[in-house]
Amino acid sequence: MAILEARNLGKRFGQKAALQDFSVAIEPGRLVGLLGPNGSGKSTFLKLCNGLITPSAGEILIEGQRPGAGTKRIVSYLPERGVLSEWMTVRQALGFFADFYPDFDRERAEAMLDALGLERGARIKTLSKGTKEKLQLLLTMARRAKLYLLDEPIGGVDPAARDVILNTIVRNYDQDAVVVISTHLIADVESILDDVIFLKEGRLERFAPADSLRESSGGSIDSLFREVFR
Amino acid sequence: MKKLLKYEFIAVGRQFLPVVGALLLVSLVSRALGQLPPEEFNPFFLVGRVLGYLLVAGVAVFALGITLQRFRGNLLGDEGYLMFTLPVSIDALIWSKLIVALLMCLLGLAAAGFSILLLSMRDIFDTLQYGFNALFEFLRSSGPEGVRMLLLAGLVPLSGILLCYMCMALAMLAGGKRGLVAVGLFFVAVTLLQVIAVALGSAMVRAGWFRGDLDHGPYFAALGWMVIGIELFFDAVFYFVTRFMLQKRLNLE
Repeated sequence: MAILEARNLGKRFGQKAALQDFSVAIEPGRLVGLLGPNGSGKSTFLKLCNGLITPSAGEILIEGQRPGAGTKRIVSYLPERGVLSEWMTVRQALGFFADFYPDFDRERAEAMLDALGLERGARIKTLSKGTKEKLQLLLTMARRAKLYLLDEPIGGVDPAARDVILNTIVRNYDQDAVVVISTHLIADVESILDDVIFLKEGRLERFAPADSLRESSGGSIDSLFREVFR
Repeated sequence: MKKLLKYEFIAVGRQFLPVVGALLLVSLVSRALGQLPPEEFNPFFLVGRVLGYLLVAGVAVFALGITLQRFRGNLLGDEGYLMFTLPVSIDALIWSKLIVALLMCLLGLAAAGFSILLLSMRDIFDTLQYGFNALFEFLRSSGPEGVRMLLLAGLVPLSGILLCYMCMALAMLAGGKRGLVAVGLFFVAVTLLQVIAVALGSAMVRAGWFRGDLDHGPYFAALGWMVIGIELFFDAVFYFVTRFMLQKRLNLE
C-alpha cells in the first residue's frame, strides 16, 4: 500500500491555482525529490500532506487516512522556517518532542546532538540560523516516522552544512519509511534520490525513478531540470 | 491536553511571574519605607508608591499582551507550523491557551488587588481578613445571587479572551496587516455587542421590568441569569468561529 497518495489534488488561493490535478502514489522505502522552481507548489503540497491547509479539489491520503490527528502521529515534518520556541533550550526542545511524539527516539536524538556538536543547555535564541536548522532537522529525523516531509532542508545553509544535513537524512530514516525532500538545489540532492517529482506551475511534470530519468535524458537530473524549467 | 498545558504554563510563567514578583516586591518595599517617621521627607517612598501603581496598571497591560502574543505567535505565526502538526486536536490547542490565559488574568487581578492594599492600607491584614469574611458571608447568605456573581466574574474575562482569539483568527483572511485587521475587527465586534446590549436593555424597559411599583428582586435575578446566558451564547460563537478558522481556513503565511 502506498504511504502517500494524492488523487487529483488541487489547491487554490483566491484566483491563483497553487496546485492542479496532482496525482502521485509513493510506496514505502523511497527517498523522493520534490523538485521545482520557487512558486511551483512544493510547499503547498507538503502543507496539504500535513493538514496545515485543506485541498480545494481531490484528496490526499497518508496510509489510507486523510490528514488529521491520526496521520500526524506518523508524519514527521520539517518546515522551511524556524518553528521552535526561542525561549527553550536544546534540551527542552528534545523534551517537547519526546512528550508529544510517541515515536521520538531519544537515543537517536542524543547521538545526533553529539554528532552535530550541539550544546544541550544552549538557548535556541542564541543559536545561529544554520545551527537552528540543524536542530530542527535533528528533531524531525529523530522520530521513527513512516513519512518524512522535508521542506527545503538545505535551502539556507552553506555547502559544507548541506553535506552534514543530507548525511543526517540518509542515515536516520527507517528503510520502510518514505522521505520527501522539497528543494530547488538539485545538484546537491540528486545522488541520494530514488524517485523524482518535477512540479511546474502547480502541475505534475514528471514522476519517475531517478535512474530511469537519467537514462532517458542521457544526463543528470540537474541538467534535465534546467532543460524542463528553462 | 496535560502536555500542552504544561508547556503553556512554562511559556507564560517565565514572562508573567517576574512581573507579578516585581509588583509585590515594589509594593512591599514601598510599604516598608512608608513606616518611617512621617516628618522626614522620604523621596524613595514617593517613588516606590508611584512605581507600585504603575506596575499595577502594567500587570494588566502585560497580561493582555501575553494573551495576544501566545495565541498569535504560538499558533498563527511560525511556531504554528509545529503546533498544528502535533498529534493533538484543535480544541486542545485552543483550550490550553484559554485556561492558562484565564488563570493568568485571575492571578494578575489578585496580585494587583493585594498590591493596592499594600500601598494604601495601614492595617492590611485586618482589612484583608475583614474583606474575605464579608465576601464569604455574602456568598453563603446570598445563595443563587452569589453563584451568579461568581459565574459572571469568570465569564467576563473568558468572553474577552475568546473575542480576541476570534478576531485574530478571522484576520487570517486578510492578506497583510493582520494585526491591524484584528484590532479593527475587535472594535467592530465590541460596538456590535454594545448595540445588542442597549437594544435588549431598551426592550426590557419598554416591557416594564424596571417600574417603580414592582418588586425588583425576581426581575434582577432573571436579568442576571439572562446576562449569563447571553455571555455563554457569545462565548460559544467566539469559540466555534475560532475553531472553524483554525481547522478550515488556517493560513499561517
